[in-house]
Amino acid sequence: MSPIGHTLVYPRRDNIYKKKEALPYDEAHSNVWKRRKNQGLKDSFKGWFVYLLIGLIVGIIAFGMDQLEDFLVDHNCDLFQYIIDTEHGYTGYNQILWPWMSYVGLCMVFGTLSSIMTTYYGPGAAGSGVAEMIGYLNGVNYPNFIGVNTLITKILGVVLAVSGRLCIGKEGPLGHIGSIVGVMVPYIPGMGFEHMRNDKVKRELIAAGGSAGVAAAFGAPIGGALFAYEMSKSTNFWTF
Amino acid sequence: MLYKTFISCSFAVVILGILQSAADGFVGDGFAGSLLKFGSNTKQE
Repeated sequence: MSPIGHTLVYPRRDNIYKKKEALPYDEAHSNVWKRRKNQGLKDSFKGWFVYLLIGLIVGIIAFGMDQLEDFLVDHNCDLFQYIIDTEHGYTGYNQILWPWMSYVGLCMVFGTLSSIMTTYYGPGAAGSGVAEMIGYLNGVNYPNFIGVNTLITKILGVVLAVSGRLCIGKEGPLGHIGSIVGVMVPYIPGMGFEHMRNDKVKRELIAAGGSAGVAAAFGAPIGGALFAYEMSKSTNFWTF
Repeated sequence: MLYKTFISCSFAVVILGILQSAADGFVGDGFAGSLLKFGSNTKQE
């Protein structure tokens, strides 16, 4: 679809911007953008509010992941202990065989579920997400890096994989989750964030969301902010 | 930009701490405890 005839509509109705492989982070120069940009104090307040909203949502998601992970691990261990306490008739290896099979079996189920979700539902959630986030901030449009499928798969997949006792952590994935939240917050209807739905602002929100996720994972707000500064230093054409 | 990012990070950490304190049932005298007790009429013995 030609962009002619659609430049006066904001946001654009065509989806050409979704097909590009590199992200241009130039300032928008359309008349619609120029008219919308000069809102003064109102936009400044919304610019602060959107960052607070990102922190709020990332904190709630991190808390939900923590609680769900504790729930799964605790119930797996409770089942393990219950089988040990009730199987008094077995002797020898059978005393530990069934509890072991229960524990390992549930861990395998958790790991298999997270693998199936990543393979068939949200392939963009594969990997930790930090390398993809650094690439995205430097202009590489990684396929499926941003999306609802990726967000759901990342949240549930990390919880299931950590509950399945795999040798992974949730620090990097929380950064990826925060990045997706940072992109999605301007699309909340009724909040008046329409002027932030461009690549330039979304890049800043991705950096803020990713650093908020890392800060929530480590409990270190200063370290999270410095993480965003570190991510932007891979190239020299965009810094904070 | 960096100060806005710091605001976002610190808010995420504070929200996470408050929610975890509430989930643990712990209402202490710290920052999260004072926020949870703010406005409530319950008195602890």
